[in-house]
Amino acid sequence: MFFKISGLNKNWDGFSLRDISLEIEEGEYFALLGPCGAGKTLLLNAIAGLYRPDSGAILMHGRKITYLPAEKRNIGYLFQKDALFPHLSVKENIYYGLKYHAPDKKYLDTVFQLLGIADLLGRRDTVNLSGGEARKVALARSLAVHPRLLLLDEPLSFLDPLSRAKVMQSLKSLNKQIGISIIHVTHDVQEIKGIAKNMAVLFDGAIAQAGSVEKLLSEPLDLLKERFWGNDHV
Amino acid sequence: MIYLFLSILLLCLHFVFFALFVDPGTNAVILAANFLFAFNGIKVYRKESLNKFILYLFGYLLLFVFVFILSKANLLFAIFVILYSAIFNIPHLLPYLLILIFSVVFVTPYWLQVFILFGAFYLFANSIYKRTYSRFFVVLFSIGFISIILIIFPILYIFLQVTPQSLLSAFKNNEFQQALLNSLITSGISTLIILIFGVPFAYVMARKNFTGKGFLDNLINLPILIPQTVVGIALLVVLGPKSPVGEFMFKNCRLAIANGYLGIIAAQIFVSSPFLIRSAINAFEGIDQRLEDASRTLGASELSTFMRISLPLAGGGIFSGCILALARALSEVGSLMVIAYHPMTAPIYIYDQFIQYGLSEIQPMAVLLVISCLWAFIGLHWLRHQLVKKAK
Repeated sequence: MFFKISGLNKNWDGFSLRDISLEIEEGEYFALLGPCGAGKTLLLNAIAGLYRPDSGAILMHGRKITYLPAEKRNIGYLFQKDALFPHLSVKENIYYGLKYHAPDKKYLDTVFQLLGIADLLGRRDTVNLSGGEARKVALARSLAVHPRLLLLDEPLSFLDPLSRAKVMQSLKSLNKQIGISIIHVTHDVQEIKGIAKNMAVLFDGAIAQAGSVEKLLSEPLDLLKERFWGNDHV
Repeated sequence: MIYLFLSILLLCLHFVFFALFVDPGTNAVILAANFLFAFNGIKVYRKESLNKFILYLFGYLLLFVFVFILSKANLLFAIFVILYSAIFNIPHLLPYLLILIFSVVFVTPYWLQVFILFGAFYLFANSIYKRTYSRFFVVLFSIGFISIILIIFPILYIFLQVTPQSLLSAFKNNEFQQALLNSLITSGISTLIILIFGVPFAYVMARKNFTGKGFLDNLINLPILIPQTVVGIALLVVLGPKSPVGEFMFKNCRLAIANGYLGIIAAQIFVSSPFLIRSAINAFEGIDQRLEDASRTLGASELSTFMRISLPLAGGGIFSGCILALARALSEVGSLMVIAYHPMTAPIYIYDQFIQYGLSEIQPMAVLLVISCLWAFIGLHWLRHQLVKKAK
């Protein structure tokens, strides 16, 4: 198994992630669905290594990485609202991580081409980028270091419909052509229809349902149907 | 024809109202002023509306009542009439004339200071109103300006009291130069030391929670609360010649802490550290945590993240903190009087001269100190502005 979480627990004041277990295969496009406040971002932070879980294990290629610091995990992370470094240029942002990883020119060119951002590299600051451009630059930044797994936290939020479609297209082709494994976190089921094969539904800090997308869409739990699916999946 | 008639009328009026009360010289000036007023009045009447003409006459009446009758300032009356006639056609200058007249008539000894203050007030308030059209904010500003007056007035007053000559002779005073140099060097070193030790501490305080954090957070403010003389006494007890530290330093390094540069620096660090540390904490807290997280996921260690993300982004705030700390260190007197009266820093020197020679002797030096401090801070702010611009 490429990536595996087993029995992960973490307790904060007033909120906890409880007994989270997931399995993802190499090159898979995995979706993590959940309403706002379900703990999706917190789970991603745990996978990225931004805090230590109380118990449980995170394994990658069979190696335990639960207590490895974030910088040694080589897991890419697209943050909500991009988190571009405001004091650096577009190019400096994208090349930021290449101080710590050997740059691969051919791979970089492929990424730039897939994202279609070659013309943005000359921009001096990131403030004037449009929403879609900023999202792609942030994607390129996290991909530049050649991560083994890419975490996407609401990658289509705060975008207009056209940019949404473009970013979604880029994500699809990234997954196919580079073969990178992706965990796509969202609260909108429409986003991952037809792209993700498997998914898990996070609800109130615990996984309520997991399995293939088609199966989950055809027989969702009553609880979820009412609380956040809506009726539009039918 | 009408001008001739008007002139005769004016002359008659002049004799009725003015000639009997004032001496001939002033009399002539007033006559000239009145003629200017009258001819400008014709222009107003012909080119502008009747209302404006009545307003014009009313202004003259006010001047006549307040300046001529109530304060009996005859020559001043003539000057104001001339100014009034000249300025009436430039509406946005009229309020300043009004302020000038009021300050001269009602607060004669401080007229220049009052004129500058209220002129500035009108300038600001008018600009606020013109940009926001909100009377509420003008009222708020007016209330706030009262506190500003308390700050500006004494400084303005002392500035307007000294002459350039006295400033120059004060500046040529060797002792004063030495004291100023002492001040700048010691406060610079103090700020540098706080910067080196305070910034890492501030980063921890801004980013991490730990047992005792609240206590430490309050402790940072302690130097602001303690009276300065007490600070001096405490430092003297710890670092003075008879304390173990003082004895050790004197025996092994031949350095006296009390009454030496080390003592000055110790006192300045004590009193000015809160300003820098607090600014640095605020600056670090203002950085989005996700930027640092993003840097970590890209492979940067915590140290690299601090150097490449946190420090550059907090730089502006930390620099402002440095300016504040430097200002506080420069202006410290109370604790220095206890622990290190000598070598004298500039504020101590000024106090010393005041005790020895009195108020008039010390005024130019005080002004000079304010000017040098102001220049230092304007320079530093300019530098900060440039850095921020460059960072963008």
